Amino acid sequence: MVEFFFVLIPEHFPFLLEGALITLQLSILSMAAAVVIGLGVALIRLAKVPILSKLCAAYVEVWRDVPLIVQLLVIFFTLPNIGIRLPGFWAGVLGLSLNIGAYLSEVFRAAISSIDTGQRDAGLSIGMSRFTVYRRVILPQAMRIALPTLGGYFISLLKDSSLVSFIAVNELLRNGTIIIANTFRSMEVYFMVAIIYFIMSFAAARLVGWVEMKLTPAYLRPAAFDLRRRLRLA
Amino acid sequence: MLMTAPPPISATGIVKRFGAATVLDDVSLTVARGEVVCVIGPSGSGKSTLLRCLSWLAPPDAGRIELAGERLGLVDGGERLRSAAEIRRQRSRIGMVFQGLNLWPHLTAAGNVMEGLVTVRRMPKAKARELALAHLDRVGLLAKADAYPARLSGGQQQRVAIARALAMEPEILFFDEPTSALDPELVGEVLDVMGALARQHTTMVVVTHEMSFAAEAADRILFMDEGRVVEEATPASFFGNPREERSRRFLDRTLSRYRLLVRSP
Ligand SMILES: Nc1ncnc2c1ncn2[C@@H]1O[C@H](COP(=O)(O)OP(=O)(O)OP(=O)(O)O)[C@@H](O)[C@H]1O
Ligand SMILES: [Mg+2]
Repeated sequence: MVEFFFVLIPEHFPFLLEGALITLQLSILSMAAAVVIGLGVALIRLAKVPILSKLCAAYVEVWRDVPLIVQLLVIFFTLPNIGIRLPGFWAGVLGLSLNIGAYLSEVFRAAISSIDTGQRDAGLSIGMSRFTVYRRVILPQAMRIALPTLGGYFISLLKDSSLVSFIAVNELLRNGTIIIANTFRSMEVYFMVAIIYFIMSFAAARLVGWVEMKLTPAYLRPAAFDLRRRLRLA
Repeated sequence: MLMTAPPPISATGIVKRFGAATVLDDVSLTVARGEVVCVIGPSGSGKSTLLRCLSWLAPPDAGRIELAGERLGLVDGGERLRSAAEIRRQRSRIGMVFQGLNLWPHLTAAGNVMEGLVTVRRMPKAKARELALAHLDRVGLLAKADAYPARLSGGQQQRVAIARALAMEPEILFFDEPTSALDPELVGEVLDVMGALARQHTTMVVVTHEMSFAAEAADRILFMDEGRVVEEATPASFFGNPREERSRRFLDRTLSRYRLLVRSP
Protein backbone atom coordinates (compact mmCIF):
# COMPACT_ATOMS: atom_id res chain seq x y z
CA MET A 1 0.00 0.00 0.00
CA VAL A 2 2.70 2.38 1.05
CA GLU A 3 4.72 1.30 -1.94
CA PHE A 4 1.72 1.85 -4.24
CA PHE A 5 1.21 5.42 -3.15
CA PHE A 6 4.77 6.49 -2.53
CA VAL A 7 6.76 4.55 -5.09
CA LEU A 8 4.62 3.28 -7.94
CA ILE A 9 2.38 6.29 -8.37
CA PRO A 10 5.11 8.93 -8.40
CA GLU A 11 7.20 6.80 -10.69
CA HIS A 12 4.64 5.76 -13.29
CA PHE A 13 1.80 8.24 -13.11
CA PRO A 14 3.44 10.88 -15.30
CA PHE A 15 3.92 8.36 -18.10
CA LEU A 16 0.33 7.23 -17.76
CA LEU A 17 -0.85 10.83 -17.84
CA GLU A 18 1.05 11.34 -21.07
CA GLY A 19 -0.95 8.41 -22.43
CA ALA A 20 -4.16 9.90 -21.04
CA LEU A 21 -3.41 13.11 -22.90
CA ILE A 22 -3.10 11.16 -26.14
CA THR A 23 -6.35 9.37 -25.31
CA LEU A 24 -8.07 12.73 -24.91
CA GLN A 25 -6.64 14.11 -28.13
CA LEU A 26 -7.60 10.95 -29.97
CA SER A 27 -11.15 11.07 -28.63
CA ILE A 28 -11.76 14.75 -29.21
CA LEU A 29 -10.39 14.74 -32.75
CA SER A 30 -12.25 11.54 -33.64
CA MET A 31 -15.48 12.89 -32.21
CA ALA A 32 -15.19 16.14 -34.15
CA ALA A 33 -14.52 14.24 -37.38
CA ALA A 34 -17.31 11.76 -36.61
CA VAL A 35 -19.82 14.62 -36.19
CA VAL A 36 -18.84 15.97 -39.62
CA ILE A 37 -19.01 12.52 -41.22
CA GLY A 38 -22.25 11.61 -39.47
CA LEU A 39 -24.00 14.85 -40.38
CA GLY A 40 -22.78 14.68 -43.98
CA VAL A 41 -23.93 11.10 -44.39
CA ALA A 42 -27.28 11.85 -42.76
CA LEU A 43 -27.92 14.82 -45.05
CA ILE A 44 -26.92 12.90 -48.18
CA ARG A 45 -29.19 10.01 -47.26
CA LEU A 46 -32.12 12.27 -46.39
CA ALA A 47 -31.70 14.19 -49.64
CA LYS A 48 -31.69 10.82 -51.47
CA VAL A 49 -28.77 11.91 -53.65
CA PRO A 50 -28.81 9.24 -56.40
CA ILE A 51 -25.70 7.06 -56.16
CA LEU A 52 -24.11 8.74 -53.18
CA SER A 53 -26.88 7.91 -50.73
CA LYS A 54 -26.66 4.22 -51.63
CA LEU A 55 -22.94 4.33 -50.96
CA CYS A 56 -23.55 6.05 -47.66
CA ALA A 57 -26.12 3.45 -46.67
CA ALA A 58 -23.60 0.71 -47.47
CA TYR A 59 -20.92 2.47 -45.42
CA VAL A 60 -23.19 2.72 -42.40
CA GLU A 61 -24.20 -0.92 -42.70
CA VAL A 62 -20.67 -2.27 -43.10
CA TRP A 63 -19.14 -0.15 -40.38
CA ARG A 64 -21.79 -1.12 -37.90
CA ASP A 65 -21.44 -4.82 -38.66
CA VAL A 66 -17.68 -5.19 -38.10
CA PRO A 67 -16.12 -4.97 -34.62
CA LEU A 68 -14.23 -1.75 -34.00
CA ILE A 69 -10.99 -3.53 -33.19
CA VAL A 70 -11.12 -5.37 -36.51
CA GLN A 71 -11.79 -2.09 -38.33
CA LEU A 72 -8.76 -0.53 -36.68
CA LEU A 73 -6.54 -3.44 -37.60
CA VAL A 74 -7.78 -3.52 -41.18
CA ILE A 75 -7.18 0.20 -41.59
CA PHE A 76 -3.76 0.06 -39.94
CA PHE A 77 -2.56 -2.87 -42.04
CA THR A 78 -4.32 -2.05 -45.31
CA LEU A 79 -3.42 1.60 -45.77
CA PRO A 80 0.34 1.03 -46.18
CA ASN A 81 -0.42 -1.56 -48.87
CA ILE A 82 -2.26 0.99 -50.95
CA GLY A 83 0.52 3.48 -50.50
CA ILE A 84 -0.92 5.56 -47.67
CA ARG A 85 1.47 5.90 -44.75
CA LEU A 86 -0.40 7.16 -41.71
CA PRO A 87 1.20 7.35 -38.28
CA GLY A 88 -0.63 5.13 -35.78
CA PHE A 89 -2.26 8.13 -34.14
CA TRP A 90 -3.90 9.30 -37.34
CA ALA A 91 -4.84 5.80 -38.38
CA GLY A 92 -6.53 5.63 -34.99
CA VAL A 93 -8.37 8.89 -35.55
CA LEU A 94 -9.47 7.69 -38.98
CA GLY A 95 -10.65 4.33 -37.66
CA LEU A 96 -12.49 5.74 -34.67
CA SER A 97 -14.14 8.58 -36.56
CA LEU A 98 -15.34 6.34 -39.38
CA ASN A 99 -16.77 3.97 -36.81
CA ILE A 100 -18.51 6.56 -34.63
CA GLY A 101 -19.50 8.53 -37.76
CA ALA A 102 -21.55 5.57 -38.98
CA TYR A 103 -23.49 5.49 -35.73
CA LEU A 104 -23.84 9.26 -35.50
CA SER A 105 -25.28 9.43 -39.01
CA GLU A 106 -28.20 7.36 -37.75
CA VAL A 107 -28.54 9.60 -34.71
CA PHE A 108 -28.64 12.72 -36.90
CA ARG A 109 -31.01 11.09 -39.38
CA ALA A 110 -33.45 10.26 -36.61
CA ALA A 111 -33.13 13.72 -35.05
CA ILE A 112 -33.70 15.49 -38.37
CA SER A 113 -36.62 13.23 -39.28
CA SER A 114 -38.26 14.01 -35.97
CA ILE A 115 -38.75 17.64 -37.00
CA ASP A 116 -42.25 18.02 -38.42
CA THR A 117 -42.24 18.63 -42.19
CA GLY A 118 -44.71 21.45 -41.62
CA GLN A 119 -41.81 23.48 -40.27
CA ARG A 120 -39.94 22.99 -43.52
CA ASP A 121 -43.02 23.94 -45.55
CA ALA A 122 -43.46 27.07 -43.43
CA GLY A 123 -39.88 28.06 -44.25
CA LEU A 124 -40.16 27.32 -47.96
CA SER A 125 -43.46 29.18 -48.17
CA ILE A 126 -41.91 32.44 -47.00
CA GLY A 127 -39.18 32.07 -49.60
CA MET A 128 -36.36 30.40 -47.67
CA SER A 129 -34.00 28.18 -49.62
CA ARG A 130 -33.66 24.55 -48.61
CA PHE A 131 -30.23 25.40 -47.27
CA THR A 132 -31.62 28.22 -45.11
CA VAL A 133 -34.39 25.96 -43.85
CA TYR A 134 -31.75 23.48 -42.73
CA ARG A 135 -29.46 26.08 -41.27
CA ARG A 136 -32.06 28.14 -39.45
CA VAL A 137 -34.93 25.79 -38.73
CA ILE A 138 -34.05 22.12 -38.84
CA LEU A 139 -30.45 21.79 -37.70
CA PRO A 140 -30.64 24.03 -34.62
CA GLN A 141 -33.44 21.83 -33.32
CA ALA A 142 -32.04 18.52 -34.54
CA MET A 143 -28.66 19.21 -32.96
CA ARG A 144 -30.24 19.85 -29.59
CA ILE A 145 -32.23 16.66 -29.90
CA ALA A 146 -29.09 14.71 -30.83
CA LEU A 147 -26.93 16.29 -28.15
CA PRO A 148 -27.52 13.87 -25.25
CA THR A 149 -26.87 10.89 -27.54
CA LEU A 150 -23.77 12.59 -28.90
CA GLY A 151 -22.52 13.06 -25.35
CA GLY A 152 -23.09 9.39 -24.66
CA TYR A 153 -21.10 8.42 -27.75
CA PHE A 154 -18.27 10.69 -26.69
CA ILE A 155 -18.01 9.04 -23.30
CA SER A 156 -18.01 5.59 -24.94
CA LEU A 157 -15.37 6.83 -27.31
CA LEU A 158 -13.08 7.89 -24.45
CA LYS A 159 -13.11 4.29 -23.30
CA ASP A 160 -13.22 2.55 -26.68
CA SER A 161 -10.21 4.52 -27.82
CA SER A 162 -8.22 2.10 -25.65
CA LEU A 163 -8.55 -0.35 -28.55
CA VAL A 164 -6.19 1.87 -30.49
CA SER A 165 -3.42 0.53 -28.23
CA PHE A 166 -3.49 -2.51 -30.52
CA ILE A 167 -2.18 -0.43 -33.40
CA ALA A 168 0.76 0.90 -31.43
CA VAL A 169 -0.53 4.29 -30.40
CA ASN A 170 0.93 5.35 -27.08
CA GLU A 171 -2.31 6.19 -25.43
CA LEU A 172 -3.27 5.45 -21.85
CA LEU A 173 -3.75 1.69 -22.00
CA ARG A 174 -0.69 1.07 -24.11
CA ASN A 175 1.50 3.14 -21.80
CA GLY A 176 0.16 1.03 -18.98
CA THR A 177 1.11 -2.20 -20.73
CA ILE A 178 4.55 -0.79 -21.50
CA ILE A 179 5.11 -0.14 -17.79
CA ILE A 180 3.89 -3.61 -16.96
CA ALA A 181 6.26 -5.16 -19.47
CA ASN A 182 9.12 -3.56 -17.57
CA THR A 183 7.93 -3.89 -13.98
CA PHE A 184 5.54 -6.89 -13.99
CA ARG A 185 3.24 -4.94 -11.65
CA SER A 186 0.09 -5.75 -13.62
CA MET A 187 -2.44 -5.31 -10.85
CA GLU A 188 -1.21 -1.97 -9.59
CA VAL A 189 -0.68 -0.44 -13.02
CA TYR A 190 -4.02 -1.60 -14.42
CA PHE A 191 -5.58 -0.18 -11.29
CA MET A 192 -4.03 3.20 -12.02
CA VAL A 193 -5.14 2.98 -15.63
CA ALA A 194 -8.66 2.19 -14.49
CA ILE A 195 -8.69 5.14 -12.12
CA ILE A 196 -7.59 7.52 -14.88
CA TYR A 197 -10.25 6.22 -17.28
CA PHE A 198 -12.82 6.58 -14.55
CA ILE A 199 -11.82 10.14 -13.79
CA MET A 200 -11.88 11.14 -17.47
CA SER A 201 -15.25 9.53 -18.15
CA PHE A 202 -16.75 10.87 -14.98
CA ALA A 203 -15.58 14.40 -15.75
CA ALA A 204 -16.74 14.07 -19.36
CA ALA A 205 -20.17 12.91 -18.24
CA ARG A 206 -20.53 15.90 -15.92
CA LEU A 207 -19.34 18.23 -18.66
CA VAL A 208 -21.78 16.76 -21.17
CA GLY A 209 -24.59 17.13 -18.67
CA TRP A 210 -23.68 20.72 -18.03
CA VAL A 211 -23.41 21.60 -21.73
CA GLU A 212 -26.75 19.92 -22.33
CA MET A 213 -28.42 22.00 -19.68
CA LYS A 214 -26.82 25.19 -20.95
CA LEU A 215 -27.89 24.51 -24.53
CA THR A 216 -31.37 23.30 -23.73
CA PRO A 217 -33.48 26.32 -24.49
CA ALA A 218 -36.44 27.38 -22.43
CA TYR A 219 -38.89 25.83 -24.89
CA LEU A 220 -37.53 22.34 -24.33
CA ARG A 221 -36.79 22.43 -20.63
CA PRO A 222 -38.94 20.13 -18.57
CA ALA A 223 -41.40 21.74 -16.22
CA ALA A 224 -39.18 20.86 -13.23
CA PHE A 225 -36.80 23.65 -14.22
CA ASP A 226 -39.63 26.11 -14.30
CA LEU A 227 -40.94 24.89 -11.02
CA ARG A 228 -37.56 25.43 -9.42
CA ARG A 229 -37.32 28.90 -10.82
CA ARG A 230 -40.82 29.68 -9.71
CA LEU A 231 -40.04 28.47 -6.21
CA ARG A 232 -36.81 30.48 -6.42
CA LEU A 233 -34.72 27.43 -5.70
CA ALA A 234 -32.51 28.06 -8.68
CA MET B 1 -58.31 48.08 -69.24
CA LEU B 2 -54.68 49.05 -69.53
CA MET B 3 -54.65 50.36 -66.00
CA THR B 4 -56.12 47.23 -64.43
CA ALA B 5 -53.56 45.38 -62.35
CA PRO B 6 -53.42 41.64 -63.02
CA PRO B 7 -55.12 39.46 -60.37
CA PRO B 8 -52.89 38.29 -57.52
CA ILE B 9 -53.53 34.67 -58.45
CA SER B 10 -54.94 33.22 -61.59
CA ALA B 11 -54.83 29.48 -62.20
CA THR B 12 -56.20 27.55 -65.14
CA GLY B 13 -56.45 23.85 -65.80
CA ILE B 14 -54.48 22.70 -62.76
CA VAL B 15 -53.87 18.97 -62.70
CA LYS B 16 -52.05 17.21 -59.88
CA ARG B 17 -51.44 13.50 -59.64
CA PHE B 18 -49.95 11.38 -56.91
CA GLY B 19 -48.99 8.15 -58.58
CA ALA B 20 -52.10 6.83 -60.29
CA ALA B 21 -54.48 9.09 -58.34
CA THR B 22 -55.54 12.36 -59.94
CA VAL B 23 -56.01 14.61 -56.94
CA LEU B 24 -56.71 17.81 -58.86
CA ASP B 25 -58.48 17.48 -62.17
CA ASP B 26 -58.61 20.63 -64.27
CA VAL B 27 -59.10 23.17 -61.51
CA SER B 28 -59.24 26.86 -62.40
CA LEU B 29 -59.41 29.74 -60.00
CA THR B 30 -58.84 33.46 -60.26
CA VAL B 31 -58.78 35.66 -57.21
CA ALA B 32 -59.17 39.40 -57.68
CA ARG B 33 -57.30 41.92 -55.54
CA GLY B 34 -59.02 42.31 -52.18
CA GLU B 35 -61.21 39.30 -52.75
CA VAL B 36 -61.80 36.56 -50.15
CA VAL B 37 -62.44 33.12 -51.59
CA CYS B 38 -63.40 30.28 -49.27
CA VAL B 39 -62.77 26.75 -50.46
CA ILE B 40 -64.88 24.07 -48.90
CA GLY B 41 -65.42 20.42 -49.59
CA PRO B 42 -65.23 16.98 -48.05
CA SER B 43 -62.02 15.52 -46.70
CA GLY B 44 -59.71 14.30 -49.44
CA SER B 45 -61.29 16.48 -52.12
CA GLY B 46 -57.94 18.14 -52.86
CA LYS B 47 -58.25 21.46 -51.04
CA SER B 48 -54.85 21.32 -49.38
CA THR B 49 -53.28 20.07 -52.57
CA LEU B 50 -54.76 23.02 -54.44
CA LEU B 51 -53.13 25.49 -52.04
CA ARG B 52 -49.85 23.60 -52.22
CA CYS B 53 -49.94 23.78 -56.02
CA LEU B 54 -50.81 27.47 -56.00
CA SER B 55 -47.84 28.18 -53.73
CA TRP B 56 -45.55 25.85 -55.66
CA LEU B 57 -44.88 23.68 -52.61
CA ALA B 58 -46.26 20.85 -54.74
CA PRO B 59 -45.78 21.88 -58.37
CA PRO B 60 -48.77 20.89 -60.51
CA ASP B 61 -48.43 18.36 -63.32
CA ALA B 62 -50.31 20.55 -65.75
CA GLY B 63 -51.96 23.93 -65.88
CA ARG B 64 -50.91 27.49 -65.68
CA ILE B 65 -50.62 29.69 -62.62
CA GLU B 66 -49.99 33.39 -62.72
CA LEU B 67 -48.89 35.36 -59.71
CA ALA B 68 -49.81 38.99 -60.32
CA GLY B 69 -49.48 38.41 -64.04
CA GLU B 70 -46.19 36.54 -63.80
CA ARG B 71 -45.97 32.86 -64.65
CA LEU B 72 -45.45 30.94 -61.40
CA GLY B 73 -42.73 28.33 -61.20
CA LEU B 74 -42.10 28.01 -64.90
CA VAL B 75 -40.38 30.31 -67.34
CA ASP B 76 -43.11 31.80 -69.48
CA GLY B 77 -43.30 30.49 -73.02
CA GLY B 78 -41.57 27.20 -72.34
CA GLU B 79 -42.18 24.60 -69.73
CA ARG B 80 -38.76 25.16 -68.25
CA LEU B 81 -38.56 25.46 -64.47
CA ARG B 82 -37.54 28.82 -63.11
CA SER B 83 -34.31 29.04 -61.16
CA ALA B 84 -34.43 28.16 -57.47
CA ALA B 85 -33.85 31.81 -56.56
CA GLU B 86 -36.74 32.94 -58.77
CA ILE B 87 -39.06 30.36 -57.26
CA ARG B 88 -38.07 31.51 -53.77
CA ARG B 89 -38.80 35.10 -54.71
CA GLN B 90 -42.21 34.08 -56.01
CA ARG B 91 -42.99 31.95 -52.99
CA SER B 92 -42.14 34.82 -50.68
CA ARG B 93 -44.96 36.78 -52.31
CA ILE B 94 -47.48 34.15 -51.28
CA GLY B 95 -48.33 33.91 -47.60
CA MET B 96 -49.34 30.56 -46.18
CA VAL B 97 -50.92 29.58 -42.89
CA PHE B 98 -51.14 25.85 -42.37
CA GLN B 99 -53.48 23.50 -40.61
CA GLY B 100 -50.89 22.17 -38.20
CA LEU B 101 -49.30 24.32 -35.57
CA ASN B 102 -45.97 24.81 -37.24
CA LEU B 103 -44.34 27.80 -35.72
CA TRP B 104 -40.64 27.18 -35.28
CA PRO B 105 -40.44 26.11 -31.65
CA HIS B 106 -36.87 27.26 -31.09
CA LEU B 107 -37.73 30.87 -31.89
CA THR B 108 -39.91 33.28 -29.92
CA ALA B 109 -43.09 34.72 -31.40
CA ALA B 110 -41.15 37.79 -32.57
CA GLY B 111 -38.31 35.54 -33.76
CA ASN B 112 -40.75 33.56 -35.89
CA VAL B 113 -42.12 36.70 -37.51
CA MET B 114 -38.65 38.23 -38.01
CA GLU B 115 -37.04 35.15 -39.50
CA GLY B 116 -38.24 35.64 -43.08
CA LEU B 117 -37.51 39.35 -42.98
CA VAL B 118 -33.93 38.67 -41.91
CA THR B 119 -33.07 35.57 -43.95
CA VAL B 120 -35.16 36.20 -47.05
CA ARG B 121 -35.57 39.98 -47.19
CA ARG B 122 -32.08 40.56 -45.71
CA MET B 123 -33.44 43.22 -43.42
CA PRO B 124 -31.29 44.40 -40.47
CA LYS B 125 -32.35 42.71 -37.25
CA ALA B 126 -33.50 45.86 -35.47
CA LYS B 127 -35.71 46.91 -38.36
CA ALA B 128 -37.07 43.38 -38.71
CA ARG B 129 -37.95 43.23 -35.04
CA GLU B 130 -39.71 46.58 -35.22
CA LEU B 131 -41.80 45.32 -38.14
CA ALA B 132 -42.40 41.99 -36.41
CA LEU B 133 -43.75 43.76 -33.35
CA ALA B 134 -46.07 45.82 -35.53
CA HIS B 135 -47.44 42.64 -37.11
CA LEU B 136 -47.80 40.89 -33.77
CA ASP B 137 -49.73 43.93 -32.61
CA ARG B 138 -52.01 43.50 -35.60
CA VAL B 139 -52.97 40.03 -34.43
CA GLY B 140 -53.23 41.23 -30.82
CA LEU B 141 -50.13 39.49 -29.52
CA LEU B 142 -47.65 42.28 -28.89
CA ALA B 143 -47.50 41.24 -25.24
CA LYS B 144 -46.39 37.74 -26.23
CA ALA B 145 -43.57 38.85 -28.52
CA ASP B 146 -40.87 37.17 -26.46
CA ALA B 147 -42.76 34.00 -25.61
CA TYR B 148 -41.78 30.68 -27.15
CA PRO B 149 -44.50 28.80 -29.04
CA ALA B 150 -44.69 26.15 -26.32
CA ARG B 151 -45.90 28.86 -23.96
CA LEU B 152 -48.66 29.98 -26.33
CA SER B 153 -52.10 28.50 -26.77
CA GLY B 154 -52.93 26.93 -30.12
CA GLY B 155 -55.01 29.95 -31.04
CA GLN B 156 -52.18 32.31 -30.19
CA GLN B 157 -49.77 30.16 -32.20
CA GLN B 158 -51.97 30.40 -35.26
CA ARG B 159 -52.22 34.16 -34.83
CA VAL B 160 -48.42 34.36 -34.73
CA ALA B 161 -48.36 32.21 -37.87
CA ILE B 162 -50.67 34.75 -39.51
CA ALA B 163 -48.35 37.58 -38.42
CA ARG B 164 -45.40 35.59 -39.80
CA ALA B 165 -47.11 35.36 -43.19
CA LEU B 166 -48.30 38.99 -43.15
CA ALA B 167 -44.82 40.30 -42.35
CA MET B 168 -43.62 39.27 -45.79
CA GLU B 169 -46.30 41.56 -47.26
CA PRO B 170 -47.56 38.91 -49.65
CA GLU B 171 -49.71 39.49 -52.73
CA ILE B 172 -52.13 36.94 -51.37
CA LEU B 173 -52.65 34.88 -48.22
CA PHE B 174 -53.55 31.18 -48.25
CA PHE B 175 -55.10 29.56 -45.21
CA ASP B 176 -55.39 25.78 -44.99
CA GLU B 177 -57.92 24.98 -42.29
CA PRO B 178 -56.11 27.19 -39.79
CA THR B 179 -58.55 26.35 -37.01
CA SER B 180 -59.12 22.64 -37.45
CA ALA B 181 -56.28 21.65 -35.11
CA LEU B 182 -57.55 23.93 -32.36
CA ASP B 183 -59.68 23.31 -29.31
CA PRO B 184 -63.16 24.69 -29.99
CA GLU B 185 -62.81 27.55 -27.53
CA LEU B 186 -59.70 28.83 -29.37
CA VAL B 187 -61.23 28.90 -32.84
CA GLY B 188 -62.96 32.25 -32.38
CA GLU B 189 -59.87 34.37 -31.78
CA VAL B 190 -58.23 33.09 -34.97
CA LEU B 191 -61.36 33.59 -37.05
CA ASP B 192 -61.66 37.10 -35.62
CA VAL B 193 -58.19 37.98 -36.90
CA MET B 194 -59.01 36.48 -40.29
CA GLY B 195 -62.31 38.31 -40.39
CA ALA B 196 -60.52 41.58 -39.69
CA LEU B 197 -58.10 40.88 -42.53
CA ALA B 198 -61.03 40.15 -44.83
CA ARG B 199 -62.65 43.46 -43.92
CA GLN B 200 -59.37 45.23 -44.68
CA HIS B 201 -59.57 43.69 -48.15
CA THR B 202 -56.61 41.40 -47.81
CA THR B 203 -56.62 39.02 -50.75
CA MET B 204 -57.19 35.58 -49.29
CA VAL B 205 -57.99 32.01 -50.19
CA VAL B 206 -59.29 30.20 -47.14
CA VAL B 207 -59.82 26.46 -46.96
CA THR B 208 -62.15 25.97 -44.04
CA HIS B 209 -64.78 23.82 -42.43
CA GLU B 210 -66.08 26.83 -40.51
CA MET B 211 -69.26 27.43 -42.47
CA SER B 212 -70.30 30.51 -40.53
CA PHE B 213 -66.93 32.12 -41.26
CA ALA B 214 -67.27 31.27 -44.95
CA ALA B 215 -70.80 32.64 -45.01
CA GLU B 216 -69.76 35.92 -43.40
CA ALA B 217 -66.29 36.63 -44.73
CA ALA B 218 -66.22 35.18 -48.23
CA ASP B 219 -66.92 37.07 -51.40
CA ARG B 220 -67.07 33.78 -53.21
CA ILE B 221 -67.34 30.11 -52.29
CA LEU B 222 -65.57 27.37 -54.17
CA PHE B 223 -66.98 23.92 -53.46
CA MET B 224 -64.65 21.07 -54.34
CA ASP B 225 -65.23 17.35 -54.52
CA GLU B 226 -62.98 14.61 -55.84
CA GLY B 227 -60.42 17.01 -57.22
CA ARG B 228 -62.85 19.17 -59.17
CA VAL B 229 -64.59 22.46 -58.59
CA VAL B 230 -68.22 21.43 -58.33
CA GLU B 231 -69.77 24.78 -57.63
CA GLU B 232 -68.62 28.37 -57.50
CA ALA B 233 -71.04 30.90 -56.08
CA THR B 234 -71.60 33.78 -53.71
CA PRO B 235 -72.06 32.70 -50.09
CA ALA B 236 -75.70 33.76 -50.19
CA SER B 237 -76.54 31.61 -53.16
CA PHE B 238 -74.27 28.71 -52.13
CA PHE B 239 -75.61 28.41 -48.59
CA GLY B 240 -79.13 29.54 -49.39
CA ASN B 241 -79.75 27.78 -52.63
CA PRO B 242 -76.95 25.45 -53.77
CA ARG B 243 -77.19 24.57 -57.45
CA GLU B 244 -75.48 21.22 -57.35
CA GLU B 245 -76.78 18.05 -55.77
CA ARG B 246 -73.34 17.29 -54.28
CA SER B 247 -73.14 20.74 -52.69
CA ARG B 248 -76.56 20.24 -51.17
CA ARG B 249 -75.66 16.85 -49.71
CA PHE B 250 -72.40 18.21 -48.31
CA LEU B 251 -74.17 21.17 -46.73
CA ASP B 252 -76.88 18.97 -45.25
CA ARG B 253 -74.29 16.75 -43.62
CA THR B 254 -72.03 19.55 -42.44
CA LEU B 255 -74.63 22.02 -41.28
CA SER B 256 -76.62 19.46 -39.38
CA ARG B 257 -73.44 18.31 -37.68
CA TYR B 258 -72.45 21.82 -36.68
CA ARG B 259 -76.09 22.76 -36.06
CA LEU B 260 -75.56 26.03 -37.81
CA LEU B 261 -78.29 28.34 -38.83
CA VAL B 262 -77.61 30.15 -42.03
CA ARG B 263 -80.01 32.80 -43.14
CA SER B 264 -81.46 32.40 -46.60
CA PRO B 265 -80.89 35.36 -48.89
N1 LIG C 1 -48.13 13.71 -50.85
C1 LIG C 1 -49.15 12.92 -51.21
N2 LIG C 1 -48.93 11.70 -51.73
C2 LIG C 1 -49.95 10.91 -52.11
N3 LIG C 1 -51.24 11.24 -52.00
C3 LIG C 1 -51.53 12.44 -51.49
C4 LIG C 1 -50.51 13.34 -51.07
N4 LIG C 1 -51.10 14.46 -50.60
C5 LIG C 1 -52.41 14.26 -50.72
N5 LIG C 1 -52.68 13.06 -51.26
C6 LIG C 1 -54.03 12.54 -51.56
O1 LIG C 1 -54.69 13.50 -52.30
C7 LIG C 1 -56.05 13.56 -51.94
C8 LIG C 1 -56.41 14.98 -51.60
O2 LIG C 1 -55.71 15.35 -50.44
P1 LIG C 1 -55.85 16.78 -49.79
O3 LIG C 1 -55.00 16.76 -48.58
O4 LIG C 1 -55.57 17.80 -50.80
O5 LIG C 1 -57.38 16.82 -49.39
P2 LIG C 1 -58.15 17.90 -48.52
O6 LIG C 1 -59.32 18.32 -49.32
O7 LIG C 1 -57.24 18.94 -48.06
O8 LIG C 1 -58.66 17.04 -47.29
P3 LIG C 1 -58.81 17.44 -45.75
O9 LIG C 1 -60.09 18.17 -45.63
O10 LIG C 1 -58.85 16.13 -45.06
O11 LIG C 1 -57.62 18.25 -45.38
C9 LIG C 1 -56.24 12.59 -50.80
O12 LIG C 1 -56.81 11.43 -51.32
C10 LIG C 1 -54.85 12.34 -50.31
O13 LIG C 1 -54.75 11.03 -49.82
MG1 LIG D 1 -56.45 19.48 -46.21
